[in-house]
Amino acid sequence: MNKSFDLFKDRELAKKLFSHIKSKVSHFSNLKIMEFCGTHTHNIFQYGFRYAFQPNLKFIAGPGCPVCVTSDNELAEAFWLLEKRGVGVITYGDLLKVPYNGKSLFDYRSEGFSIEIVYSAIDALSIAKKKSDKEWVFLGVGFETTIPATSALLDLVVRTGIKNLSVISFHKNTKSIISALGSLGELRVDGILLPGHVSAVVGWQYFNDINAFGIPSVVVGFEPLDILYGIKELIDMIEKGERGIKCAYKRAVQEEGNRKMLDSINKFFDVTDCNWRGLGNIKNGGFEIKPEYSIYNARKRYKIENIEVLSKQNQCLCGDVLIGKIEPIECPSFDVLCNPDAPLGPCMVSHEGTCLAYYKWSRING
Amino acid sequence: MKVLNVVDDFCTVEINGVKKSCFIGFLERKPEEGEYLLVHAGMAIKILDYQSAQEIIDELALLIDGELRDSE
Repeated sequence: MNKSFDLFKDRELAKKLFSHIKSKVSHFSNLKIMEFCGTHTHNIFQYGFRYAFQPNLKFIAGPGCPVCVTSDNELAEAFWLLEKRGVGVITYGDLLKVPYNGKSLFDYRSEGFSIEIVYSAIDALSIAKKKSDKEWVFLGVGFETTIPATSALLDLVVRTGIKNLSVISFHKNTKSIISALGSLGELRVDGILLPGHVSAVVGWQYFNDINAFGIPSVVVGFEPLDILYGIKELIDMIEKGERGIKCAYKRAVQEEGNRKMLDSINKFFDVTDCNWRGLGNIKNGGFEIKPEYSIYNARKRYKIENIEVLSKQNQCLCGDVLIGKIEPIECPSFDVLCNPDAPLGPCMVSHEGTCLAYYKWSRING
Repeated sequence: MKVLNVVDDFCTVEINGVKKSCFIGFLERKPEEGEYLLVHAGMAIKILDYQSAQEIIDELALLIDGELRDSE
């Protein structure tokens, strides 16, 4: 068995499909499509689609960058653990340079605090075993795509009985955010491109709440033809006045998702209210470790309560960017005070961040 | 990512010449060498289904061919 999926990079077919879509959208004026996922934001830039259909069709980046929506409250918890409890912190590299109150985990590491980066959550176990003279906390960041990795880590922690490793959950629930955006009146779009990776875990029916807002949506993959196919499907739905959700990424996404991953999430996590950057407290917006596993929950183990969140005033408008209210180029700090080397906010840090996408690809694409 | 080898609950995958290890314990079955996986943060989410992929490519080719015929 050796069948490549490079067929979704077929240049000739992509050119023809692009022309087909271009012709279709010429009948519209000012269509707005939100891509939920940060990787889609980057790929839509990378493949040259971002401005290709204007003025008829405009893409609006959504809140689908998990590091970006990690709130100041959560960063404050991580910093508190380092400073007040002297534990080591393990997390994904993307979180390292996110500033809170003028400081980042990267700065803490420069000052000698113990901070380790992992590619996968389960790598945290070997770090804790190897450096057993220290207590470690894994910062679980991300949407439903990374929660199974944290669940797998928790499963290993429980089974091995390791004592010097616990987990704090900053995980976010993508299902809730669609409803929250709709309820806040921030879903002023004609269609939504839904995330491929999250949908592969949870199944595309997970997003049925969108139907309440009457916005057609399509689950989309990440190669050039995946994205063009998704746009075509969405335009078809808009043209016909169809509502509901379609899946344009069937090689990876099924209606019911990955059952084992969902079971694992349900075993270790409860859905809970949660603070999102840019949106504030979102009902059912996050995941917390279940009470029966509280001895592995760093919030309980280290008695984290009511940490005062300090807000050093800066001119970052990440919150407005995350809900599609403004484009990064409308932020006065963009490329003036804020750039990848000196980011004011997470959207300029994360590889899925909207500001970084605009900064990086606008330069490359001119 | 393409599967190079499988050992217990882990496999080695390759993309653009870069090799990585990933956890396959959440998959519906063990993947075979040469199959492709959707992987995120070191976790395999799904064995990619080639038939579904080919159906979409065929559908798009038909659509484009139909348009070309109409324009002639």
